[in-house]
Amino acid sequence: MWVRAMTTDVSTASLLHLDAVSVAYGETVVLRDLTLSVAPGEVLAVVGPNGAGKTTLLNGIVGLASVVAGSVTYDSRNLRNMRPERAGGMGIAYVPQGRWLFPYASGTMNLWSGGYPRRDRRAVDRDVKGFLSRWPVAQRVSRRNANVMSGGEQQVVAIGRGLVAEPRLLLIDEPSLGLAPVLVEEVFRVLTEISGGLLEKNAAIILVEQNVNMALEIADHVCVLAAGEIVHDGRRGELPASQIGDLYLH
Amino acid sequence: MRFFIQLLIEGIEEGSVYALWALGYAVVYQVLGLMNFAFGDTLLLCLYLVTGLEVGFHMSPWIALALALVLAAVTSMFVERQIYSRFTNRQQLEAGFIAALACAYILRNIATAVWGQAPLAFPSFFGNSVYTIAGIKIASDGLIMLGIAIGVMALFGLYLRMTKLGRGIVLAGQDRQSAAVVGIPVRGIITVVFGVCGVVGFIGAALFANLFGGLNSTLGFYITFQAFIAATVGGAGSLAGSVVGGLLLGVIESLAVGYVSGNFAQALAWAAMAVLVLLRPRGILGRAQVERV
Repeated sequence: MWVRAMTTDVSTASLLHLDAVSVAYGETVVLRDLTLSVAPGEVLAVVGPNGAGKTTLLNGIVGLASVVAGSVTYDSRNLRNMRPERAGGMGIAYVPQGRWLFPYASGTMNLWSGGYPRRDRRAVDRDVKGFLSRWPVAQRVSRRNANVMSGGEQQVVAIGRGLVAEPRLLLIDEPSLGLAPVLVEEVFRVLTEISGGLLEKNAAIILVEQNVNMALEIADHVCVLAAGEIVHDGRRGELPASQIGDLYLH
Repeated sequence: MRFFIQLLIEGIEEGSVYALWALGYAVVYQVLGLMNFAFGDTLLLCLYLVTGLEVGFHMSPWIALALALVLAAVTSMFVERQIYSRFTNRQQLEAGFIAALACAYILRNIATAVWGQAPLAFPSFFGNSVYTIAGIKIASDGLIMLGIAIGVMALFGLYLRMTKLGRGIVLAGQDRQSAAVVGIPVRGIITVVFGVCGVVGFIGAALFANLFGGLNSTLGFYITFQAFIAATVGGAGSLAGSVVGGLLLGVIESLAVGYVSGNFAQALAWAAMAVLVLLRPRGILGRAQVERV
């Protein structure tokens, strides 16, 4: 029997590894020389002030912004500057800031769309039904078009759409942005539960969030971004939330 | 009253064909934002092929029609892949529009270079008999045309609603970037859209040529303009709108022919449509465009 040679570098232990990555929109470089890793079964929270480059980081991973230097390795494959539509087929689901739901499609159809790259259509339908029956918020809007849903309803459907993709890597950008506090709690209840389920399947999650306290409740690992650079990277609890806040102001 | 009903029936019959054209035009517009002004001339070339194969090669008109239907899909996809994609990939939609117009002339010139400038006869597929019911004349070929058009619309609607690819087309039409993010292969979907729209449009074009029994080289632009106007009046973001726009255009034309004059019917109908768009800029069933900042 043939045994394939294994590459034994840092990336084998991690699901996603960014090495000295710079990300740009056109000519404008937003992130410089960034190195970080996410292991299977881990939640990485990326926190930081407005304009730190958190969204750009996620966009760079899925190919919506260009990686101009460094390498992005996912599951020992090079992701650098792949087309965004390929991410889904590789098991990467993106829940972008502002939700990006299909405005004239129902809640059910929006959930269904998350499973588009999957081959087993019955399993997709089952997962959509499962999500709807588990979350009454989603059930309420299952027949309503996304453009007439509230922000909280949209966010729950957007997270569900990511879940229906059956991701190995789920990227979530600012799920609490623009929501009333009571809805933020609801959204985080959904997030906590689905992340528990995903981690059991050895998937990984990157959560970008301005609400540091909420993010720390879910995360194993925290990375603080400011002005396009990592200013802190460590396990949860190494640094209390109040001090993370101070890092924003450095 | 009888005269009015007569005109209404004929208007709906012709409008059902305009609705097919409008659908073929509108789905491309929805997914790509491109005004596909080579639409009618792509179909024109394929109509010429039907007559050319029948007359030149004594082929059964039904086989000629089937071959032309395949050619309609292939030509549409070819035009998209080889010409439009060079513009739309860079979001150069105005340049793409000019390329579409140039493309329309190239396709029309291919047809006239092979088959000449003079009008041609188009084979009759169903024969025709006229029935009089309560004083209203009903032509069988008009009814068959309406039936086929409704059938194609229903199948197209089911395709878009029930199949995975069809749903992908609808979702990509609502928001291309979201579609890419959930892993819908937008590039491939666009090519499929051109093929499917070519087929739907061609069925409409063949029904129309069958009804009038003839072809000439200006039919391509006529199809394109009718499709564009019907889709715009109905609401370019809505497929039901295209159907409503097509039917409305047919009925207004028919009433103008009956009550005013055949000479001015086209001008009157288009003027009426312009007024409708002025009153409802988004179209009858139109909806707001999605904008991402």
